[in-house]
Amino acid sequence: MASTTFRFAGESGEGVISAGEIACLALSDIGFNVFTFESYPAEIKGGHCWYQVRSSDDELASAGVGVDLLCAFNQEAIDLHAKVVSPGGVIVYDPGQVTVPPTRTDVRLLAIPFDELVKTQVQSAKSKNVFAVATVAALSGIPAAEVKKTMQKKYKGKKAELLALNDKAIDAAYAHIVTNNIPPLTTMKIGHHAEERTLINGNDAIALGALAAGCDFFAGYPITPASSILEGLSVEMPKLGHVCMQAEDEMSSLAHCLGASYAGKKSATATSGPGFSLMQELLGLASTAELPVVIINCMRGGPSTGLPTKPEQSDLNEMVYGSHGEASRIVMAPAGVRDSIIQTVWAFNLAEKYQVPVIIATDHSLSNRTENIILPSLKGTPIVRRKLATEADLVDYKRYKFTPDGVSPQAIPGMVGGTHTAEGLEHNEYGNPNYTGSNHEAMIKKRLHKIDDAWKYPAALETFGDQNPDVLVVTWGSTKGPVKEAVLAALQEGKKVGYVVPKILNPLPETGFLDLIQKAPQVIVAEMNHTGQLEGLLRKRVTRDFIRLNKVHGTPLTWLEIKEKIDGALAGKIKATATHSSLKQEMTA
Amino acid sequence: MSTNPAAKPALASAGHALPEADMVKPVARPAIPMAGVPLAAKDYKGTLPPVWCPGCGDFAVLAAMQKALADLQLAPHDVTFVSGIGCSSRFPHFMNAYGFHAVHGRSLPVAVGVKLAMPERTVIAVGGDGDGMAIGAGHFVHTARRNPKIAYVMMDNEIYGLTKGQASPTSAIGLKTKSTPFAGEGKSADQPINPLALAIISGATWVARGYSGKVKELTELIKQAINHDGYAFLQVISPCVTFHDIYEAAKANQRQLEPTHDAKDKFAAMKAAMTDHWVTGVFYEEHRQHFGAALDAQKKDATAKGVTGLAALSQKLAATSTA
Repeated sequence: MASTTFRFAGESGEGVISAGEIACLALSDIGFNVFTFESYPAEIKGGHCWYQVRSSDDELASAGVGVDLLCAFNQEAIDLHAKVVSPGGVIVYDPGQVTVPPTRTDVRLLAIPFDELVKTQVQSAKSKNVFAVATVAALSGIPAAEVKKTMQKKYKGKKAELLALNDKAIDAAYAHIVTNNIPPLTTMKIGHHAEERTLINGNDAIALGALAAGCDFFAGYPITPASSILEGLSVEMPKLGHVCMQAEDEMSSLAHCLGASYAGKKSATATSGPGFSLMQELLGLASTAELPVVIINCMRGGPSTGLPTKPEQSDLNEMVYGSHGEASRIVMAPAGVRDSIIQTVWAFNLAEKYQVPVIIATDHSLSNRTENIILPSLKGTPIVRRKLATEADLVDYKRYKFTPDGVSPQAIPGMVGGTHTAEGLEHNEYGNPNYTGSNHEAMIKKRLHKIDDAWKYPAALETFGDQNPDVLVVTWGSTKGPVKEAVLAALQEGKKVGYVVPKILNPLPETGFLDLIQKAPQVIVAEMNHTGQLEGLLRKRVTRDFIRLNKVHGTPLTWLEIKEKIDGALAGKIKATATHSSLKQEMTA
Repeated sequence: MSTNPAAKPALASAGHALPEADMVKPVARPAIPMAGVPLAAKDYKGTLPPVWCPGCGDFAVLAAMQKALADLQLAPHDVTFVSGIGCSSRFPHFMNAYGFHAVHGRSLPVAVGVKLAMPERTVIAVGGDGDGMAIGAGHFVHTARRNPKIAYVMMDNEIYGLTKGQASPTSAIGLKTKSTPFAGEGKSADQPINPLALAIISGATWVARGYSGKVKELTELIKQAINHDGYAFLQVISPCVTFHDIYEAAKANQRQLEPTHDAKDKFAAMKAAMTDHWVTGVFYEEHRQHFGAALDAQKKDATAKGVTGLAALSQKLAATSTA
C-alpha cells in the first residue's frame, strides 16, 4: 500500500517526541490515516529517542518498513537511522549538530540549521520541535495555515504568548524554505476524512473500553508502559463518580480490586511484567474466590526488569499458567487500537459473566501507538452485569453453589441473608473451608470448566485472506498488524495465503481456529518471543508441524520479515518443525 | 517485657482438619435477624465453631466483637470482616457477617477496596501479627497514611501459630522459637516491631491497645474503633497457649494507660507507645479527613465541570450497546 513515513530522531528531552506528535496530529487533520511508533530510553534525561508517523489513504496495520523522510536532530540520529531511509527518500538534518553527514547518494540530503535559525529567527530555544515539524510540513507541500490550525487545536487554552510563539516558529521555518528556494519534495494532499476519526493510542483505547463497559473501580501502580492507563483513568473516572486510586504496590492494586469486586464493583488494574509477576498470588485468589476482575498487562521486554520501553509478547505462558495450582482465568489480546476498545468491553463482559479474572494482554508498541480510528459501535455487544443473588437464592445462600453453568449467584454486602465468606482456601458451596478430596475435585472442575465456552463471543476471531490457504499465518496481539500487511502483499501476488488471529488465548477458540490450523497445509506462528509461546499452546491442542517465526529484538516484526517466511514456505524452502522440543537445535543453528 | 519460655512442642494441628461430613451435612446458616427485634451478641455467631486451641486469646476477641456489634446494633449484612492468613485470620468464619478470607498479608488493601465500593457499610480488617507486621507491613504503613474509614483489629500473640511456632515480627528479642533455636542474650539481632508506634508515625488517626484477658475494656475499644471517623488500629494482646504462652506475664504486667494520658498529643502518644508493652487504652486520636471523604471531594470537583473527554466518549459508546 502507498504510504509516507516520517521519522523524528534525536536526544531525549529535545522535543523529538512532541515534534512527532504534532506531525501525527497534522497528518490526521488533513485527512490521512496515521500509525505511529515511538522508541525512547528507560531513563528520564538523556538517551536517544525517536518517533515515527506512517500516513496513508489506506487503512494502516503496522509501522511499515523504511522511512521516507528522516528529520535528524543530532549525529546519533544520522548514525542510527540514515540507513533505514528508503531509496529516493529525504534526510533533513541540523548541520550545527551533525558533523559527519550521511554519505548515501540515493537519498536527498537537506542541511537546515535548526538551532541557529530558532535562535536568530524565533528567539526561543524551546521552539525547535515546532520549527522542525514545520520544516517537514513545508517540504511535504502542506500549507503553513494547516500546521497553524493543528497547533492551535493541540495547545487550545494555553497562554496567548505560547500560541504566538508557535506561529512565529512556523512562519520562520516556511520562510527559510522559500528564501532558499528549496522546492517541496512532495505535495501531500489536503483533504478530510469521510467519517469522523478519533486520534487515540492503545492504552487510551483500553481505558475507553473499560469505561464503556461500566468499570467503576480502578487501582494501579505506576509502571512502564501501563502508567498512562492509571493516569488517564485518574482524570476520567472521578467525572463519572467512580474511584480510581494509586496503590502502594501491585499486590495492593489487585487486592483493592478484589475487595471492590466482592462489593459488586466492576474493577480493573493495569500493569506490566514485573507487576504482573507480583500479582500472581492474588490472581489465584480471584480465581478461587470467583471474583470478576480485569487485569491489563502491557507487556514489555523481560524477564526481570528487562527492556522497560520495548515491546515483547513473552508473558503468554505466565498469563495462561501463572499462579500456583490450577487457577481458572481468561486471557485476551486485542490486535490493534480499535480492537483494544472492543476486546476490553468483552473482557469486562466475560469477567462478569463467568465471575473470573480476565487478563488483557497488550504490549509496549500497541499501548503507545496512536491511530486515528473510526470509533466502533457496540451494536450487538451487550454490557453484561454479573449474576447476583435473588431472594430465592438468599433463603439458604450458597456462594459457591454448584449450578449447571458453574456460575454461582453472588451476594454482596447489604443483601439480607447473604452473609458468607469469600474464600481462597478450598471451600464447600457455602464458602466454608473444606479439604475433602471429593469437594476439591468438584470445585476445581467447577472453576476450570465454567469458562470452557468463553471463546464463543462474537469478536473472538479475526480471519482474513484465502478461504483454503496454502500457508496460514497464526499470530496474536499487535503482531497482527505486520501479518496483515504481509498477507495482503502475498494476496496481491496471487498467492493463496491467509491469517487467523485469536483475540482470546485462554480458552483457545475451537471452531474457526483450531480446525483451520489442523487442516492448513502449512502454518506459520509469528510472535514476539523466543520460545514460541502461542505455538506451545497450539501444540497441546492440535497434532501438526509448525513453521516458527520468533523475534525478541525490542521492535515489532515487520511485514517484510513475515512475507519472506510466507514466500519461503510457499517455495518449500522453509520446513515446519515437528516438535516444540526441537527448538534448541533450530535456535542455535 | 514478656518472659520467654521455650516454644512447647506442637500439641495439635492449629485447626486444619474439618470432617468429611461437612460436605454432606452443612452447618445450619444463622437466622436472619428480624426487623424491630434488637440484636444480641449471639446473632453475630457464625456458622462454624472456632478452630482455635482451647485457651487461645482469640476466643475473647471474638466474644468482644460480637458484643460490640450488638451494642452498636449493626446488622450482620451491613458488616464485612476482611482477613489475611493465620489462626486469627479465620475470624470471619466465626462471625455472622459478610467476610473475605484473603491471602497472607493483604487484608488491609482488600478491606480498603470493599470500603471504597460501599462507604456506607462497616468494614473491619482482622488478623495476626505475622499477617499484619511481616508480609503485610507495607500495607500497614500505607493504609495508615491514607486514613480510610475502617477498623483494623490485630490479634498479637508474638508468634506464628498456624505454621506451628516460628518467630514473628513482634517476638521479643532473644525469644527461642522453632525458627530461632539459637536465639538468646547477645545472639538475636531482630528488634521486634512496635505496632502502636508504627501506626502513629504512619498517620493512623486512632490507635489503641487491648488485652484479650479484659473483654469488657476490649469491647469498648472495638466500639470506639468502629465508630472512629477514619483509620482505627487496635492491637490486641491475644496470647497463644500452644506455642508462646504469655498469660502469666500479661497478668503480672497488665495495666491501663494513666487517666492523665492525653490521646490528642501525638508526642505523648508516641512516648506511651514506646514505653510499655502491656498498657492498654487509647494511645492516640486525631480527626483528619478520611480517604473516602477526600475522594468524594475530588469527585464533586470533577463532576461539577461536566463529563468531558474519554468519559464522555465512553458514555456515547456505551449508548450504542445492544444485546
